[in-house]
Amino acid sequence: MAEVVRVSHEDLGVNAGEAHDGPLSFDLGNLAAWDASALDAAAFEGGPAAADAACHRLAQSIFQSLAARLFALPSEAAPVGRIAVLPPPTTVLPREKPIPKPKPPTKWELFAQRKGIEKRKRSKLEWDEASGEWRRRYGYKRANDEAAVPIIEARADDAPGEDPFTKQRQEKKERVKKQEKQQLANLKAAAKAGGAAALPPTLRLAAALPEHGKGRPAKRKELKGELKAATQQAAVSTASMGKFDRLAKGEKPDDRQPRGKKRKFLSVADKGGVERQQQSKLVDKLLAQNADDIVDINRAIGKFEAAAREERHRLKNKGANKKGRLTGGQGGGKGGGKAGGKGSGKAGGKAGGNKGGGGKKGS
Amino acid sequence: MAEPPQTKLIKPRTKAGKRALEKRAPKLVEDPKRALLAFGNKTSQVVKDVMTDLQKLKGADALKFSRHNADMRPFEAGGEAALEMHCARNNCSLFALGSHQKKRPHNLLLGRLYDFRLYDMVEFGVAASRSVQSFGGGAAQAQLGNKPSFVFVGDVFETDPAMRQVKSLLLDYFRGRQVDTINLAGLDRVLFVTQHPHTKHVLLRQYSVRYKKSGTRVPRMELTEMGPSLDLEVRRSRQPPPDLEKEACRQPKLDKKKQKNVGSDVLEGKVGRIYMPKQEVDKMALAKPKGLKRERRAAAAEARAAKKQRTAGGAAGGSGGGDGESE
Repeated sequence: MAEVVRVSHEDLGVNAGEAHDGPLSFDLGNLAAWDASALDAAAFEGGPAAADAACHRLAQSIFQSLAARLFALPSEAAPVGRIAVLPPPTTVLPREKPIPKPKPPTKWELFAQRKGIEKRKRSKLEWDEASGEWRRRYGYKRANDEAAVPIIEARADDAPGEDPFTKQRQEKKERVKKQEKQQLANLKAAAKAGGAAALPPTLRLAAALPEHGKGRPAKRKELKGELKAATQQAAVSTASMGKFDRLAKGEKPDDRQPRGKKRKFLSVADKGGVERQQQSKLVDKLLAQNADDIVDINRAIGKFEAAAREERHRLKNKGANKKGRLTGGQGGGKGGGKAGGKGSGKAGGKAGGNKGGGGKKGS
Repeated sequence: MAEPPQTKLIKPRTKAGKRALEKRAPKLVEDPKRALLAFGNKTSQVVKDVMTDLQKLKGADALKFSRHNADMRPFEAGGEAALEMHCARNNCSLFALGSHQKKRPHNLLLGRLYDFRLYDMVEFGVAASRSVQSFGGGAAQAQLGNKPSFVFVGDVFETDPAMRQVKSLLLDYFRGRQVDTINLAGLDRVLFVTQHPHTKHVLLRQYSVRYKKSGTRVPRMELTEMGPSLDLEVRRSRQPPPDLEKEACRQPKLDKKKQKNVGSDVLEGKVGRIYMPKQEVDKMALAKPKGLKRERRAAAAEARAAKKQRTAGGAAGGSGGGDGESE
């Protein structure tokens, strides 16, 4: 008879975390767990550190139990990990906004329902007789578009002097207007029945100003601001800008102050050389702007030398004859003396090296 | 005679504006609640730090106002108007209002709105706090936007109505998006809430989770405190008005979309119907059955013979060759 082998968890390398002992309730849809038993008050004695440690212990063991429940849920493998299917949350929390209401039926929908008219699906494409192909029913390049016809044949009942194209456009406009009117009526009816929440979220109904000559005339009190602005404008709109006009009742002299900046002109007789100052300022400004144009002799020499170095270096790289180089070098060397020539030669070698690289790149 | 007032339809002027409005519209399954974090008339550094951490916890779903708002006093009559207005404008249904007074030092007011009307709120005093930053790198392991797990401990969360409200509020505040599925590798933080048995403070702790090999299917969870750690003294609170509560807690019926072409069979269980295009068996490359070996050979020999004849006969027999072969 074979001997019974006893294996402990440690032998198998199993080190599962300590699960919480005690009754726990779970709301897996919210990833929540709670222990509804009373706390062990003794563990929280001895200052904040002890309380923190007790919290950590409890959190660790309860979360381990919660994780065990979550890992036991039906799951699927995915490239990012295992995806578990959560049950719906059980804790009832208040919603953020009311439950969306179904769209109230329009007048046509009510009528259709009463008559038993069912909505049918129509294909998006329609056969276009003129072009002999399938085209969209609506929109750009639609099938059987009346407006796209270049010639409309005259009919016996046409009124003389009437443009059929204009008539077509007007009729279309009227149809659109009628449709808009019906839409607005439907929305108004919906708002009346179910309040503002019954309207689509993107639309809002508001009181509109009445059309010209219609509706209740606006009260003077409501138009106070506008009236005041109008009187002020009128008061400063005379030839003297209101300077010599009588003040109206209730009008303050401050109201006559014209709006905006007043232009100022120089006095005709130049006193204290104001004009001279201004002119010299202008000249200084111009000079400052064009300061770069003035020749800086040192910089100019530097530029000239750099160009010469580049040229020498280019010739050298090209493998030009010595004669060419010598003639280039002589010009600089003789003028500046021996020591100067040497110095500039060294610097030139460095700079030339850099420039040579750039040159190669270009070619 | 007075005419009926004219009505005008206000539509969004741009497509982007329309989309923004549609985004805010009431939905069956709602988006995560956004939180407005604001300061009252005066604040202390403690409250400011707590607010910074709250903003971190809520991530992209938080909006923090930086100025003081003297007119936000939700416990006073009419004092909630400014708060409601700002929340509605910014599409926030949760708020946190931090203030500091002699009477109520380090005051933190957490609350909810329903339909941008004040729903309920609980006032806390921050008795002790440690910020996320003071815990060092622990927070780096938890990924922003992942759903946190919650652990509530204590019988007070069932018995005491104020504490029940605290539990509901905290769960609502931090739970984030409602989801059907969850990546099991993404359980990376735990919010722990309990009530201190002696001081009666609400202890709020947050831990980051690390998975360790356990040898079983469920990894061993190792928790490290990542902050914030708050000890909150419960002050005033306001329960939701009963009628508003009833309306807000009504849940919509979520009928699942009907699954097409899937039925069930008593014997076979779940049965699916799929569309198969027409199969042309004649043109298919099928396995050659052994039983037809002889016939195949005979046919091949015949075909060879016919071909030979055709080549011998020249171009004249070419057109009729195909028909003869198939017969």
